[in-house]
Amino acid sequence: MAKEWYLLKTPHDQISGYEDEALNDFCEESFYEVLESEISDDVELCNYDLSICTPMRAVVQNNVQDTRLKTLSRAVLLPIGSCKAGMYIKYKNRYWLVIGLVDDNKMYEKAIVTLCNYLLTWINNKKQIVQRWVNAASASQYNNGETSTQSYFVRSDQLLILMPDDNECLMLQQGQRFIMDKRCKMYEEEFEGSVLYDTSKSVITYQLTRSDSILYDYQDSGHYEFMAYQDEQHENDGYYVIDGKGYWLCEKPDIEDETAILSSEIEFDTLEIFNGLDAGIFKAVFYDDNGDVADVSPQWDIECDFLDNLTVEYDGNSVCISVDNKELINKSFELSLGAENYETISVTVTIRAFI
Amino acid sequence: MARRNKTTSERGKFKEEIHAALYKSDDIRKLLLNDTSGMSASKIREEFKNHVKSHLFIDDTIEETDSFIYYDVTMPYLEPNIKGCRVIMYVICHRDILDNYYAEGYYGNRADILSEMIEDVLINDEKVANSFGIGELTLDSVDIYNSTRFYGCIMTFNVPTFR
Repeated sequence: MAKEWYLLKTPHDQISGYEDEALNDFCEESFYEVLESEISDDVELCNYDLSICTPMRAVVQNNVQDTRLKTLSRAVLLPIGSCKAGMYIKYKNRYWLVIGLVDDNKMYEKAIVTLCNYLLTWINNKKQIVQRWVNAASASQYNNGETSTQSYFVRSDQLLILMPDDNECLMLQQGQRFIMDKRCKMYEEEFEGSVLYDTSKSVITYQLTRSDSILYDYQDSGHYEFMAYQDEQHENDGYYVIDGKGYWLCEKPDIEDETAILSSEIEFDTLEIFNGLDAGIFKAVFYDDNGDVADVSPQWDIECDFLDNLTVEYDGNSVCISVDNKELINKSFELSLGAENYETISVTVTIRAFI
Repeated sequence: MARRNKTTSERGKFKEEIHAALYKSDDIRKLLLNDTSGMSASKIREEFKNHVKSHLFIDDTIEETDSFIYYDVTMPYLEPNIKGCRVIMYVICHRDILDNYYAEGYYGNRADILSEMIEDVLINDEKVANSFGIGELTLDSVDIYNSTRFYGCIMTFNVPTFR
């Protein structure tokens, strides 16, 4: 037995010539003593979606490195059976992804972790927002970033993405697009909380072009890797607020049905206007987050093929529509009300003869 | 398939013209509904429809002490190219309120005043008078309506039109 072991608080009866047995019997307990010492750190062990985070003590090694790439990985010593590949270890407010098969030496287990440098966000096939911390590394180190075709240049960059191998990650489809751009944080600071969506910002987007789901599958654990190829920004790529939280998404979320951004209504006496009589009056009423009436400029729209025969006058938040044409009796038109940040609502108005 | 002109379609078309023309008259609305300030547009229309009906009056079916206009359209003759259209209009008021209405420029009791107002709307307004058939709508006769509770007149208008 190495001399160092005698520096631990070994019971007297374990230095009696049966050190091997004693090591086998008590090495794990000895490691617990190490965890209580100053060389250990407080960490949190987290599952793939961070829904379960368990505080614990661990020895984090390789903290002090000489090369840039090595600073992005650590070895973490933990009690045996603590973690598996694909889990996160939160250490000094950063998430580290456990990669490689975790095994032990009967005293402790060692997990090799790599720094997660981006919170990847996408919409799954159930239209739910999914987020995972990932390690993104360049897979085109000295590419100049453009690929020339005959008449134009397109973006050209590849990233290798490491992430957990949970169901959401494994079900990522070929061609799935992501926004991966640090400038998103700067844009959010400009929004000052008042913006509910914004697709005007320039962002860098990637799409999944190659995935490896079995290379790092260890049966009971593992992590997932895919290659992301830079593509051109699309029209709907941008910032969306869903349930009060902002996300950068490459797909317009289906939020109109689930969460009406803000509500409005069209007040009216009747949905009939009478040919040759006084105008039908339709008033726009907008509500704010608290359900109070808000002062918002309405945007009215009338959809029909006889718009030229209608007399439409706007008065503040109201629109007055009249008609004097017997040919239009019993015909209908759609009156829609919208405004920025409000869902568009519409009513069907019918022209009747007054009798 | 092209729709053929229908001989009877003028009955409905004339009624729509008459109803709208009578409704647009402030004087008639005031006489029939009294003070309408504070009433919504739809309420006024609803009340107006309770007082102006596009069918003929049957005595003892109305209990309100009010004024009413009942009218219908007939076609007394049908020729190969021309048909005659006749509007028969009952302008009646309950006897209890017959003598308590006055309006500047109009004469007689409430039923007399109402019949004058109707003539103004349907005959003296050229645009309205010319909106029926061929030529102008003409007032051809005014007879007395006299029953137990209601009194008024029966106005008969005529206009020919293409068949």
